[in-house]
Amino acid sequence: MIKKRIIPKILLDSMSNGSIAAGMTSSYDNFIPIGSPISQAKILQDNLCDEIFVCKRNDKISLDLCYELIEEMAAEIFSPISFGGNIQTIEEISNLVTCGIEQVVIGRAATTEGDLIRKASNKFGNQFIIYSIDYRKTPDGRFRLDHTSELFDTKNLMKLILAVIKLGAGQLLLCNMDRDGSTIGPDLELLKILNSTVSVPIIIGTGIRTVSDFIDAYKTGADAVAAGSFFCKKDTSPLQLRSHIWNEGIDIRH
Amino acid sequence: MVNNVGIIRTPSSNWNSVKRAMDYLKISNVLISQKKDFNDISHIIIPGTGTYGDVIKDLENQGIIDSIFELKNQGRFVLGICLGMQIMGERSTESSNVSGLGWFTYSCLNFENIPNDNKALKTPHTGWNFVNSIKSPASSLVNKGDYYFSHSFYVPKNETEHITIGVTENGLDFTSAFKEDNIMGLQFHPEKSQAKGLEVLKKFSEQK
Repeated sequence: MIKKRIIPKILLDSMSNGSIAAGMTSSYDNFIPIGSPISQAKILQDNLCDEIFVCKRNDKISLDLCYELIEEMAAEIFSPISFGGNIQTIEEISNLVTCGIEQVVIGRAATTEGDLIRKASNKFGNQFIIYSIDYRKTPDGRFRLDHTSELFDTKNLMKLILAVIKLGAGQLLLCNMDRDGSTIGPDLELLKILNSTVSVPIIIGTGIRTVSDFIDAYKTGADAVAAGSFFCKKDTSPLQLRSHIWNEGIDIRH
Repeated sequence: MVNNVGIIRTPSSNWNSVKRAMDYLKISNVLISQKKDFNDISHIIIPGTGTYGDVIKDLENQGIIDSIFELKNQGRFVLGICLGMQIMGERSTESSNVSGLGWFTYSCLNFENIPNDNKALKTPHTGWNFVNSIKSPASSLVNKGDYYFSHSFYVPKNETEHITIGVTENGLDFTSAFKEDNIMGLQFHPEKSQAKGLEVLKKFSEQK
């Protein structure tokens, strides 16, 4: 059977000297740079990452700069690379394919740019499209998606997600924004509901603090776990992480 | 002839990822978009992303199908990766009104249509999975182990009976690698399968 995946995240932000740095955030804010994206990617590949997520944090970095960066990365990194960061058009997606991206992560544009997911999926296949659900939870248990004011209850959120899958999203990336870089762990509750609703792979995108968080996420149905600050903090080596996960009976490369 | 690998370039394919892998391996390679690009080519790689119907249409529009057939018939080595492998058969349910190259008789099916009572099977088949080597002289080209896959359609194992060199399980057993004479097909992406994948590309390119 297919193995569970570990996906380190490389968050990009621009520095005052115009260069792009990789770093980590908490609650999608408080960016702390940790080094060069290319060096980070090489270290991750050497440590047997299954994939790498490259995420452009904001529009301070132009996509043109990102294309250059990805080309440079893809010249030395022969692992799957996914890229996300306010992708809005089919041209941007085509450029990213040419640069060497394996998957694109599309968030708000899935619902604001009408036809984008359908067009991209028709052209590149649905295995190419990851729909990123970036959300916060209200005190009364409803969901607010990033960049909208609309509130969803669980049922309507599932309806929306199923609709986006029908348009052509081949994977889901579940990102509770409040749990980004957090101390409270991933949102296993929503993961469980999602896992019983959809049959596309699900990636947990935020909230991973410890080895147990990986294990809990896989056991709750996540097919992959993406983590940023976990790897930046380097308390556990990636290879030790794999051993721990394997020892829990989870099928993972090790 | 010095080995020179032609990488077929179509609009939706990840030809650049394959090219970078070949550059990294220092294997002489050239991009092929049109008929005139077929010069001194000893090997061809057909990369694979996009959709079945579109890839066939692009190859037709670019006028290169005849040249690919010619080189294949002359015994030059051909490698199809993922969709590149799928189109070497007759058909796929992905684009049921489009014919493949017809070098083999298989038709590709969708993992979604496998009986899936426990919902554990997710489609697309995306991630690392084990390729089990089938004992044959050609199986040294693909060492058993984990490789990276990303696809919804597959070649049924029973349709490549005598030429299978690798089998993978995803709800059922499917053909993850095959070889017949000068033609090889890989369902996984060697250009994204780290060191093991690069090794396969190297071995393919070194065939004489």
